[in-house]
Amino acid sequence: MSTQTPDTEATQSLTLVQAVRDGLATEMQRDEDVVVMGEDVGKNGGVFRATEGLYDEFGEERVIDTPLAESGIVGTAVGMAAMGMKPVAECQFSGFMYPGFDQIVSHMPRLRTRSRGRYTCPMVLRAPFGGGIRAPEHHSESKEAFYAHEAGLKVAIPSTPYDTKGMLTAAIRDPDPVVFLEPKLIYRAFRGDVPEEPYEVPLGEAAVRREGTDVSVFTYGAMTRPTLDAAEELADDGIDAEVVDLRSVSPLDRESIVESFQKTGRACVVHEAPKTGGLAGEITATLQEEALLYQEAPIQRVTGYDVPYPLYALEDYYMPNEARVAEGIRDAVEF
Amino acid sequence: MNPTHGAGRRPAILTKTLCRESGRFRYAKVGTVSTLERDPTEDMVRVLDEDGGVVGDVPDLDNDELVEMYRQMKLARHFDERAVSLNRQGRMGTYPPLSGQEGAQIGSAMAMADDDWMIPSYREHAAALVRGQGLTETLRYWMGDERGDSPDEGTNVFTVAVPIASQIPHATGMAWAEKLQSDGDHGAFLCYFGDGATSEGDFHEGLNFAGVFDTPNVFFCNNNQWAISVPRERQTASDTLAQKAQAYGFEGVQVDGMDPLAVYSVTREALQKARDPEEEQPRPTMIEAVQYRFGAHTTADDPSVYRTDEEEERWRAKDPIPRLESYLQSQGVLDDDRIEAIQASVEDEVADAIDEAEATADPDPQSMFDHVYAEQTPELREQAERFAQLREKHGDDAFQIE
Amino acid sequence: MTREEFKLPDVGEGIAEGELVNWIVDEGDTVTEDQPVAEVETDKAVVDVPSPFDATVAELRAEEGEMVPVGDVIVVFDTGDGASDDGSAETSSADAAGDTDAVGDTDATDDGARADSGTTAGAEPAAPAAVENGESEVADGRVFAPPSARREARERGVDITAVEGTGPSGRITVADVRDHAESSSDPEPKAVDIDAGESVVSGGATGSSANGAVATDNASAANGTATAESVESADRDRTLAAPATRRVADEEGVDLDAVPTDERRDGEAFVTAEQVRAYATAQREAQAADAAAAGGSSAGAADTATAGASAGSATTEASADTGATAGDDGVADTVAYRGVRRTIGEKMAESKYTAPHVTHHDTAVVDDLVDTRERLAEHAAERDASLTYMPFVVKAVVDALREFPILNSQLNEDDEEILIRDDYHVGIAVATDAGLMVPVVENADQKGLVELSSEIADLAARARDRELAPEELRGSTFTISNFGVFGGEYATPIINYPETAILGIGELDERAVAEDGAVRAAPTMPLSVSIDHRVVDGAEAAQFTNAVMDRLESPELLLL
Repeated sequence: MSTQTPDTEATQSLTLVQAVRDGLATEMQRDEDVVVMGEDVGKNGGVFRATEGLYDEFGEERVIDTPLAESGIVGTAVGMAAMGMKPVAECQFSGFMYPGFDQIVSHMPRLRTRSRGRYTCPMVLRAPFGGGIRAPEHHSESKEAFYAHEAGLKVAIPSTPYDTKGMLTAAIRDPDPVVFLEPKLIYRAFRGDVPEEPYEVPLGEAAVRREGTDVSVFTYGAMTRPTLDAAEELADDGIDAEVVDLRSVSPLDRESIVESFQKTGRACVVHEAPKTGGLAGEITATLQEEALLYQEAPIQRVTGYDVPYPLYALEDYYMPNEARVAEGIRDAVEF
Repeated sequence: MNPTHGAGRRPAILTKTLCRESGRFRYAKVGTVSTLERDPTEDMVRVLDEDGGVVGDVPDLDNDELVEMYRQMKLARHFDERAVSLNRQGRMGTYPPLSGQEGAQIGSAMAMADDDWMIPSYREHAAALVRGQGLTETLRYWMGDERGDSPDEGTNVFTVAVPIASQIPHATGMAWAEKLQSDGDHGAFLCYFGDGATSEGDFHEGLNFAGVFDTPNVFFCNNNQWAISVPRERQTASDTLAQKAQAYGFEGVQVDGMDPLAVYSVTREALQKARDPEEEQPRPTMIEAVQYRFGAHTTADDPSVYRTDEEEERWRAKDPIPRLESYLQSQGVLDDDRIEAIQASVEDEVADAIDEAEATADPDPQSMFDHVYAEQTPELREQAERFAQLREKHGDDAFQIE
Repeated sequence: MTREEFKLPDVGEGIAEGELVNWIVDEGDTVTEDQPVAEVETDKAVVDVPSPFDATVAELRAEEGEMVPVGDVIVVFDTGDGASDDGSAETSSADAAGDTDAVGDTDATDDGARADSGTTAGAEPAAPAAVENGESEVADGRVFAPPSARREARERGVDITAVEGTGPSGRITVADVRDHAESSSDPEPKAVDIDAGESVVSGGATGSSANGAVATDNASAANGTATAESVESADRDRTLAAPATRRVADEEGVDLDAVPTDERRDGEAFVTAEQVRAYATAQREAQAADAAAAGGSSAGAADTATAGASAGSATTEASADTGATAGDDGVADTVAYRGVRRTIGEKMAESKYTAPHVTHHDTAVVDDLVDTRERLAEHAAERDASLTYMPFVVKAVVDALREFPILNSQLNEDDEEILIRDDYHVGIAVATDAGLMVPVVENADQKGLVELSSEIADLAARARDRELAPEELRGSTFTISNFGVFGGEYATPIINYPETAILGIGELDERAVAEDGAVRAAPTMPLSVSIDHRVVDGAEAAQFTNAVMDRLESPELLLL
């Protein structure tokens, strides 16, 4: 990267959670209608420190500590958005979104439809999600399928610091409501270069993280890392896997999914969420519809089990890991 | 109801408090200052002052019961300190400390009769201990083992509820069921929750149902002033939490939650009313126990970010344990030797519980598939079998996520 | 002496690293369980990390100010001695009420580098030293800043001790560092960390297409090459086909890339299931023709020659082999090759083309059997049962199989093993209007003559009425074909694959038998035993046949 114009091309090395903070800050600087609201997002800087410093920088009217009430948070954000603001609401953990579920499914996505475009809901609902951090009950679930199932919502799940800022920026600017799920397992797991300036990573576009010819592995969020690890492990055995990070699970980048599958004819889908009703089923169905004739083997699903997410003594067994992903890829290749 | 709703200034709020002499609640002026700034010993039920001096009616407890109350509080405190330390050593996961709240938990739990029920949130290890739940089980739960949240029959303790306020409607429903199923002779259902919970819809809905269906409930709010970083006065513009009960048609009481004897009295009264109300008297009661958590919300939290040392020090002066200790010493019930012996036995008990919890093998990974349904579905059986094969093939080490 | 390594735990749900702010103990110090040994600051909190042991501090592995990843060893304790003289009561009292003082004392007596008084060990994470006590800044330049602020400072080249904190308790925030950096007009950022962002990891692209090809080709490798000369095959790199077509190809052992087609989808060659079957048939017939030609058998060659012609046309025109119609070239009628007919055909072909057959012939002289059956039939009649010869044959076969179990077996080529059975489920070939069916007498070894007789009669009747359940047609381990009911003596029965042997019975009739230099007319039963010569040797086939004959000729042996 050129260093001639540091003002516009300067980068910083950030963790994923810092990229969330940075994305919020740059959009708040750019657009006064952007406000951040939720439990402990203000003075405390968020329980994961995703909003650290914003309260000091933008004040309590734009970084709002709300009462402990998710339906209130989401519902008032819907109202604010209807009036032209761009609220970025936070639910502290995705497991605590459910008191706000009525608002999330009954109003966030339907305001535009119901009013025939007279009212819109350009808000973002952020929540850390996923397991692996030894947290108590309800702190580890992956329920992205609930939201992907809801027409009118977009659902974004970044897996790198760069994407996090870019996708969050795109989500804030999006004219429609976006559920922005942040994989908290990798909030601090690694760093990446993140431009200081605002930029967008478009929603609905997948990224090929590893090119390969033998099998397409579709994944997103925290599972991207074990999936890439498994792909590297299998490369030693002569299996050349392509790893596609979906980044948005709604809308799905059907084009990239189909394109990769047409090349390989074999697929494995990896997510932490339970198998039944999960995104893997949707991706498999997409391939059936659009690329049936290319299919050379059953499409494998490596997912969480259809059990309530166990307390942490057993969570490592629940989450797909490198070994399980490799097993799934092998099953797809060696059929 | 509220005669002075003037614009620009907060109305004076009347709240009901318990009058020991008459056994009835009476209205009292609470004032207009945030509970944070207000001296919590003013205008609310209390028995002991900060130095253990008697300022109210001492409940009818014999010396053994008083010592037991003291010992349980000491046990809870020591357990709490060691639990936080275990987390810091990587020997236990996230844990929600309760230090400072022993008076409210032990005082209320001791007021319960055997047939009464306790519906906790996630911080009521001390109350559960009084009801007979073992420390080992509590440790196992926070060590990530579901078996720690399977209360013994007869303890009448419901499971831990982590999502805020979500247990309140359960408590109403359980009490309602008891009322419907029994012939009039039944226990009462005491539900714990925090100050933050009063902002959730479930709080409103649970209390509203209780009022409408006149269920035998006591809604026990552990107002510890902080919902993580959000102070009590940012949760609600109401002057008290107790006054919210008025809107549901039953009584709300504020009690000094760091005064175990006051908590005991108020709770016992409310439980009795829930079981056997006087004519025209609604069964449910909401108790707001004003208190303070000395520590963090959980071990993943750092309270120094959002509150001051001065504030903590002010509340530490109200610590329930020295208060009761001073009172019992002044009554000649406790002496230094006895106190030392209690401390030693408490330490042994906690050390034994930790040893036992750590000696317990982690649950069988296959148990993940148990208790999902009464009868395992074919799909789940298949997943369990596949999982067993994977473990066989790769070994359990392959499942350890860094 | 036991050394225990202590790793920095995740003290805050997903913490990756922490700064070791300060050691509260020195190497050589004695510590008790729960006694704080270090102060660690993470992105979330400042916490005291206590010792899990009563021990002596053997080694401090991290420097003050160092960023330590979660899971790294920060201290090594020696738990073997030193601490053991501390009674447990004393140990636990140290972590109770007196904690704060204990820590404070350590600070006071130590070298002054530790300024963390104000922290308590138990109930709360350590609060940063209160601003008003002044120790934090004075003693050693100790400042309170989360790692994010420290990193910001490092990256901006800012001395963090010079930054004024505006956060709670004087804590330095990222914004403070930025403000400081900007005010001191040195904003040059330094981005040095590894990038985990957009970059695409590409590796192993070359050479991997070969792997892909192997994966799709392996099914055809075995027989595709063998027949490449006789039937023209396409040789594409990729072929589109529906999954169902792929299944047919797999079953037929055909490489999709070899199946000729003109059809294209998405610009790629596209193959249907019909084309796969046609190609498979053509291949087999060509193969058979080759074999016949080599063996000089004119009769067989004549048949396959016509089939071969249609197979030849299949290579250029997929539908040609089914396109022949009645009236052309002397074809009197066309009978659909579908359903049961085709299933039978495919099974026969599979067996015959997979298992090299050898058939052993012999004849049993069965005077005694005829007598025995007659006598027993009367008893059977009393039980309202008829008694045929078939149960005797079944019992003779089961007995002989016990002696020569290799004929009661199955070859599992994939696993390179022969499965020898110790159960005896005997298939009975039955001719029906729809074609040949083979219902199964399960556990024939456990059944008596009468029971066998009525079961066989029942199965045969229901086979003809097509009333058999599918499971009644599965699971045989050895098969008997009684073609003798239509007359004739010897045949070459086709094995009911994947079994490895079959017994054919000719008509029981009087035939000339030479005995002791004389010829006499005697009732005889001709036997034809076909074996899969991959599994069963010719000698074993003969010995097995002898064993069957012994029992048919001396039925009392069946009592043994």
